Amino acid sequence: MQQKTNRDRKTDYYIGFHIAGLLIFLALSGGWVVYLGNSGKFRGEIPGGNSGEIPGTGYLILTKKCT
Amino acid sequence: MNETVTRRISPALLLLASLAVLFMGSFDRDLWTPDEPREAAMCLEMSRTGDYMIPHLAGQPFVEKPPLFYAISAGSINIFGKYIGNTPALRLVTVMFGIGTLLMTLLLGSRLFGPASGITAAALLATMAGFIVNFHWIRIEAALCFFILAAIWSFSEVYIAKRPIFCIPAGLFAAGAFLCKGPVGPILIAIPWLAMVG
Repeated sequence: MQQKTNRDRKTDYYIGFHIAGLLIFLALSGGWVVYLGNSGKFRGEIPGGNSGEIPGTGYLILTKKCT
Repeated sequence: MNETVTRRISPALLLLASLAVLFMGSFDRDLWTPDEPREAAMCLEMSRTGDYMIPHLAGQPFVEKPPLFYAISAGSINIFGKYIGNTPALRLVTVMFGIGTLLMTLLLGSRLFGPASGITAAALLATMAGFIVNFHWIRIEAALCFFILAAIWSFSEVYIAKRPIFCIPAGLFAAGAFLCKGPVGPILIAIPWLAMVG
């Protein structure tokens, strides 16, 4: 079996860190997506919408609530 | 003052003046429509309910965006709210992300073109109207901008400075970008990453 050269080791080292970085990214972002999916609060459509209008409340009430 | 001292102090003064722009006008006003009341309400609800995983608005799940920015802001309300008030505690988060963005600009510019360019880039960014507007509002984009720049800087350390261990912060920052605003973060990181790899 051919021995690894320093160049090979360096390449392994680079690949290892890339995989580690990728796994961290996937674990954190994928973890939240899975949690959300299991929570039952996301059922194919996005609750909340983007209008910024909340039925029965409104900006003034929310502003008061926050300050 | 001799020339060497001036050369050393000037960049620091320039950066301090840039930071002053971020802090001015951030803590002495109420929430501004249309975005701030909604974002602030979600942060406040998160701080009250303790559910840091799924944002809620008026009691309803609001998962149009992931929770990281709201969670950090809710944490800020819990820690600083009783001392400085809830709205300033929220704006403090945006200001901190602004400082982080300037720091990342400085580091990335220094890595790509040298320290003088890094400082100049950070000072230019700090005094641009778009930057000032975005980092004076309680908005997710502040966090998104920081995480994207931080991930790009980490990749520049990997590929330009040949320090592969920075793949780990790159992964963390890319996850931060995703957890702030979904897939758009990693997509915007992937474009410069591909340029550096290629």
